[in-house]
Amino acid sequence: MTMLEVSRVSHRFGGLKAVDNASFGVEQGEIVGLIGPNGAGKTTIFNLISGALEVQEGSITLRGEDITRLRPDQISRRGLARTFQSPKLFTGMSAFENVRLALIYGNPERRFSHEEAEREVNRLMATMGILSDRNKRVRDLPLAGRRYLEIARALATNAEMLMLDESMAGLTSRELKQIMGRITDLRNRGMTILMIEHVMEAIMGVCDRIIVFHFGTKISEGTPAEIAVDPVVRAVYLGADS
Amino acid sequence: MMESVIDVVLSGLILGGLYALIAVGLSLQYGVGRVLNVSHGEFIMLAALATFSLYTVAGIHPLLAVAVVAPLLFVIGFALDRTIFNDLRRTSIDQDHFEGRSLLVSFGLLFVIQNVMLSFWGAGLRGYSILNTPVTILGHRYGLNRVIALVVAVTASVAFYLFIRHTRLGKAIRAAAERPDMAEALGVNRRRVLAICFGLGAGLAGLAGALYSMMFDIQASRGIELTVIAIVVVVVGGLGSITGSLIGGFLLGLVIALVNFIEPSLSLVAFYLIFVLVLLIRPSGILGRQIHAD
Amino acid sequence: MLISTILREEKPALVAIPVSIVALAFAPSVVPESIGISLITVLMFAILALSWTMFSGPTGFVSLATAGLFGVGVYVSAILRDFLPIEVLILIGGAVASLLALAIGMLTLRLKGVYFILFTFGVASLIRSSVAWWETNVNGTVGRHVSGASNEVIYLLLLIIFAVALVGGFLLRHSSPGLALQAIGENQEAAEHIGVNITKLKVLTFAASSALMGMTGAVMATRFRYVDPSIAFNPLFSFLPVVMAILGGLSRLYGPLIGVTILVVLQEFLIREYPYVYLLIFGLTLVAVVLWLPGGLVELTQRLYIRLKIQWIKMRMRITRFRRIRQADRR
Repeated sequence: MTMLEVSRVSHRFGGLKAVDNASFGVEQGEIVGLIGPNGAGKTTIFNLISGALEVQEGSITLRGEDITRLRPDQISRRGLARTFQSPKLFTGMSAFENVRLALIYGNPERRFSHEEAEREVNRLMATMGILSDRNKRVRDLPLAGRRYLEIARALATNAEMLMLDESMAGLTSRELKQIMGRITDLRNRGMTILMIEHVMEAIMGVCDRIIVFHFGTKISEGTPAEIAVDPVVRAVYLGADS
Repeated sequence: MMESVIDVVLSGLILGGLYALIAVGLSLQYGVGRVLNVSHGEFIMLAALATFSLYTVAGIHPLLAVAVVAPLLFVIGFALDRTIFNDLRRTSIDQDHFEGRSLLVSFGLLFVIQNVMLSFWGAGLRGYSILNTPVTILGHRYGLNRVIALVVAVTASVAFYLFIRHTRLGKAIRAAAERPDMAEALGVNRRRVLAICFGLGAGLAGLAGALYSMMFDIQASRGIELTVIAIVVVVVGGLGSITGSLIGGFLLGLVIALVNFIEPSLSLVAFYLIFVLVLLIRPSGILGRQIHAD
Repeated sequence: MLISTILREEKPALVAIPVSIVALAFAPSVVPESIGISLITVLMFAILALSWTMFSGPTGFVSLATAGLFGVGVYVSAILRDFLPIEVLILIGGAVASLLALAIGMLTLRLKGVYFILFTFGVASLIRSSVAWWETNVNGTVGRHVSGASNEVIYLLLLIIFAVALVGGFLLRHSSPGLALQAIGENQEAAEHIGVNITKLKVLTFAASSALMGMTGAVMATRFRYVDPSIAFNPLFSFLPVVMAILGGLSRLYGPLIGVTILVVLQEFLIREYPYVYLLIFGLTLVAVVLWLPGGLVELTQRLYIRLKIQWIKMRMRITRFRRIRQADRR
């Protein structure tokens, strides 16, 4: 089943066309990588999908439902969650409270007792390996911890699809392997994942399919193996390691 | 009909010149230092009162008094920025946080300066007459003092504009305002530039105050009105653009002169209405930097 | 979730809130007349500071529209005073103020930071000048006389509104909307992406807090007895509650109350002896608090409390060690 469908979406910032007639889809249970040079429009596309930016042209559907005109909180409640290039966390609150808030607001139909909420938050944080950081303040967390926290928070909203924006940047080699493993785990348990990434090791190692963006539109897509030898991609990506 | 147009335009320019002068100091302080100095009007009023005293007690002509008052205020402003606002910059989380805090601090300064003014000059109305002789321009009569004030205001504005555009310090100021990171890398001492800007803003307030005292009655409590005018002009012209405040000042002066001609009782309403509408429709003002919804 | 959290975390408040309301109820009969009258001012500012904090505290959106919303309530009362009982006036005042707040809220959705602050100030000023124009040009009057009410009645009505503000503020802080408001203040975009309807939450909270302001205005009209736009919409009603709340500290419910008490007492006290010094103190205090004590007096008391606790623990450890040495000696 197609989870996410982006159809002929365009977006202008003043005179600049950041996204130009972009179309692609993500199937349920896939991990799809979105790569491309800086300025190719990848984060803009994320913003358009998640509702942070108003879609000027085109349409976006989630599980067949049109989400083009919906607000971010409405889209979040329909099961689509995302992280940000630099983690947007509630810095005044503890890690635990960050996730708990998302749990409460991401699941408006459920009422959690104090114990239920605590158990669920603990479970989510354990999934991301940050249970020991529960009571730490956000500013005391290292980069990897903050990335994991943002993902745990996204998961708390009962997401069926996760959009990750450069979650692997700046991680050590060990942290990288760890996060790649956790993301694959999530997929194996049914999550659909779309990730913007520059870290090629992660893209090649984890993705089922890769979409290549340039000048605001898709210029190629395929499996990692296909993309690695695609001449169009090589030409565009001079200098990137693969 | 033509008579009325000329009258409105000239009155508007005179008013606008004053508006621009009042505003440009604040624009400098916010545009570069990101301090929305709500005590700006108090600086102006303080300068006005000082000029008044210098004239009535020591017989010093206000236009000469400027040479004393403006530099004095510059020093005070420089010191304030170098100490208090610099400290705030260091300890604030992000720009919004700093802007909010510096707003509050300048608010505290407002009270302090009010106290100083009230303690030394009392709460009553003060004023003096100088150069009140009427002058006829294009068939309309205006007080000479106002015409001089306009001329000084325009000259100062133009001089200031040229300074910002063409001198090394002026360019350093613009660099510090627009690209602080680059400016540091290029060796611009950002802290000093910021303090100079705040001081310049205060100095311009001094000039405005001296001129103001020539044209209007002075009262310690009126500083707030001037601050409000300055803020409105700065927002209309574009928060962060100094040229914008100059243009905005004259534009606003013309509009208010027009409203005064048609229905004087509505001038205050018009003033605030324009302010509110600009914030709603085009918050970046005439020349300000575009604000992206992020 | 709400009740259990409160029961768990806020036992002192559960006692303090009813006690203080009851204490305030009996205060006028116990204290001298002059202080009793000041209490009216204290209550008025307390309500304004509490309701301002309700919205602006957690979200960080500093509103300077308080004077406009308060003044609207004053004018509702002034206009309808001879036709309706005061209780109804209060409700209408609150309703009109909250409708106005809804309108303002819907307009300011995309404004942030200093633009929001300026806009709220502009709106309040626009309301003031518009009412002034209307009264002068359409009604032919500048001010209005309002038949008064006894101080006892005014005090009681304010106390009721205060109780509502206090309890309401308390419940809000410990509810999930309250937490979501904080999240909005920390990172509005993130809050949106985890399912918070930021528009609805902000606008409703702003409207609720404004209702309280309008109700207070409706009562105070009977105290002023003569109202005109510069009295009803005096900008000080916008600025002073902010100063008081920040001085006291926004992180706890009682913070603004401390700020209000100190500043009103100072003002009443100093204004007689040294009429202008209170301005100096206001100003210097504000600068000092923003620079060195951003959490306000609440932060100060918390720091002192922690330090005292540490001293107490150290002392107890010394006593225990001393006792053990004595016991070892005896054997």
